[in-house]
Amino acid sequence: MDINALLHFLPQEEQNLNRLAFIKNNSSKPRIAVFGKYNHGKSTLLNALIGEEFFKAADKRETVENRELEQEKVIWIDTPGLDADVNRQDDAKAIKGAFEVADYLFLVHQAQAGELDKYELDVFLKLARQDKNYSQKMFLIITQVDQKSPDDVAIVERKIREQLMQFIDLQQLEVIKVSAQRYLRGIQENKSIFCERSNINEIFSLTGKLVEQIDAAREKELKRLKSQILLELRSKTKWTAAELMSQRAKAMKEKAELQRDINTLSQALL
Amino acid sequence: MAIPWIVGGIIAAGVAAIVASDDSSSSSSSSARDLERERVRARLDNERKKEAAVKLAKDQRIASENKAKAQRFITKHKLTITPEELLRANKQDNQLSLQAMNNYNNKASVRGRNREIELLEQELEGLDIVEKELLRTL
Repeated sequence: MDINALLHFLPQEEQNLNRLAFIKNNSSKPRIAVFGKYNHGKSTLLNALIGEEFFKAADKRETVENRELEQEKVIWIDTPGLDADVNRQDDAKAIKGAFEVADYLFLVHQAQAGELDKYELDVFLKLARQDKNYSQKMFLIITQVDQKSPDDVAIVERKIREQLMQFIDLQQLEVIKVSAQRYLRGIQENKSIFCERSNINEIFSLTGKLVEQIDAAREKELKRLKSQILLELRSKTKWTAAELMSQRAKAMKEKAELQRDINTLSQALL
Repeated sequence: MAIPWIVGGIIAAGVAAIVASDDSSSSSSSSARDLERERVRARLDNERKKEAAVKLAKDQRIASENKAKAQRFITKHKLTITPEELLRANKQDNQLSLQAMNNYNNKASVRGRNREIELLEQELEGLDIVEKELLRTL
């Protein structure tokens, strides 16, 4: 399949075509990207999930590129923190990139920040609307729940759920509350109670499910993308054929009129 | 003897007068004919001149009408050829049609549309190829 040839005809489908090419050319391990505003605990969460300090947590956005770590069953992607710059060009790139290279998105939001802000909601909506099935591939992770009392966390969660309910594309979003710090402390101090209370296991369990589903999910996505591209291609073919017919008809009509006028002129000249 | 001479003289003079009188009448008649011929010639000349002037005026009117017709045709079809060129071409077999068509085909807008048609044809061919390729891999 020549992606470049398809891109030539369907430049508006760039994102879907890149995703299609990506799925075809990559291993069947699920690629899970952690996405969210900078300083909301993305890297800490990732480090807790992979069990080592691979991703660097920084107070300032240090990169605009994704960082990846391939494990036995999963490829983890750390994305640059959103909303770190005044110029949000990089965020647009990150959103587009996330769609093309990730099978699943963990949307990270820290509990201390309270409900989702407008920018986060906008970005989450953009992601969910890229593909009608995409909302099923996104999971909202409320991080750093250890920084607030359980009651306060419950209030934040309730408010966030209310926010999500306002948007049809986000209503089905699964919400998981975790504390990566608590989990890491549990590991460091070998205290399983911290690990249990961190609720990270819920993400491990989710990840396991995603690993199991990935082949079927990709197969389904591949078919859906190809069907969509085929549809666009046929629509483009139809439009081009109609345009060609119209141009040919115009040319023929004009030429016929010219020939008729030539004959009239020839007879009218004395 | 003088009388016969006188009589003879008178007779001679009379004959001479008669002869002289005949000569004068003949000269007058010839001059009139010349004048008449001259008048006829002048009239014919005038008529010819008038006819020529009428013909010239008619030719000029026809030329002007033809030019106007050619110009209307040129304007309608936005051609770059001149009316004179078209009228010259009209005097040769099929040349009017040929020249007008050539001029039309060389118009920027016609060339542009022909190019567009060519591109659309190529695009359709390309679309057909990628669609077949996509279906093959589905």
